[in-house]
Amino acid sequence: MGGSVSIAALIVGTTLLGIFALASMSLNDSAKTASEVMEEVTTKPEVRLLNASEHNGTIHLNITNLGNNQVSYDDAWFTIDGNEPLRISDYHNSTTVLFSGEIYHLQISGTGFSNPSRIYVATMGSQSGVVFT
Amino acid sequence: MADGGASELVMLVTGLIAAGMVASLLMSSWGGLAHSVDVAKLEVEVDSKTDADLISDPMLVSWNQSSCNLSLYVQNIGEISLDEDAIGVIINGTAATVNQTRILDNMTTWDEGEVVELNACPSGLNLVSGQEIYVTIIVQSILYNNVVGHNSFTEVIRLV
Repeated sequence: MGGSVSIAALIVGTTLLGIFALASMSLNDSAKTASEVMEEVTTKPEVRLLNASEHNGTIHLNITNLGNNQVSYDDAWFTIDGNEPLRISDYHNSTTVLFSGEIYHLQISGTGFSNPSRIYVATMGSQSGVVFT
Repeated sequence: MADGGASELVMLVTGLIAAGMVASLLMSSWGGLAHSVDVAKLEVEVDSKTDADLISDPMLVSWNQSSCNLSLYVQNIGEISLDEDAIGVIINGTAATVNQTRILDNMTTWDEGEVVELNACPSGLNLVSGQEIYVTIIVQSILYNNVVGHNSFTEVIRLV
C-alpha cells in the first residue's frame, strides 16, 4: 500500500516538475521576445533636411542624421512637389549611408524637375521637408 | 496474507492508473496552453516586425475627384516583406477601395525599404483640393512562420 502511494506520488511529482520546467522555459522565451520588441521600437532613424536649392536642373540638398543609427540611401526616398517618390541612391552613389551626426551635401541631377518649390525626404519612419530657396 | 497481497496489488495498479491519468491530463492541458502562448508570442513578434509608413509628402497629396483617385506612397519600414495586395485604407472614417497597387523602382516584392504606390477611391466622400483628411492605412505581412502580421498607422494629409 505504502509502495503504491509512493510510486504514484513519484509520477505526479515528476510530472509537475516537468511542467514547471517547461513553464519556466516558455516564460524566459517570452521575456526575451518582449525585450527584442522593445529594442525595435527605439531604433527608428531621424533625418532632417537643412536646406535645398536648385541651379540649372541640379538639386543641392543639405541633410543630416540626428538619430543614433546610420541611414542607408537605398531606403531613403525624396519627393519633389508631391510627385512620385524617387530613391536617393538612384541619383547619388558617391556615398551609401548617412552617418549619425553627419551633415551631407547631396547633389541630385536628372530628375527632370525645373523650378521646384518643395522637397520632402522620408526614410524608415522619419520624414523631413523644406522649401527651395 | 494472500488476500492482503492481492488487495495491495489492486491498490498499486489503481494508484498507478490514477497517477497516469492525472499525469496525462496535466501534460495534455499544458500542451494546449503552451501552444496558445507560443502562437500568441509569435503573433506579437510578427506584428512588431510588420510596419509601414506614409512617404508621400503629406502636404501635397494628389487627389482626382472625377476619377476618384487618391495616390498614396507607403514604405515598408518593418523587417518582414509586406503583401501589396492586402492593403486597407480608411479615409475620414470611411473604408476606401484600393483599385491598384504598384511597387516602385521595378521591384517585384514589397521588401524592407521598398515603396508601394496605391490608388484608393473613397466612395461616397466629396473631397476638395486643399482639404485636410485623416488617412488610416492597414498593412499585412506575408506568411512568416505560418503567421501573418498586421500594422496600421494614421496620418493627416492635405489634398491638392
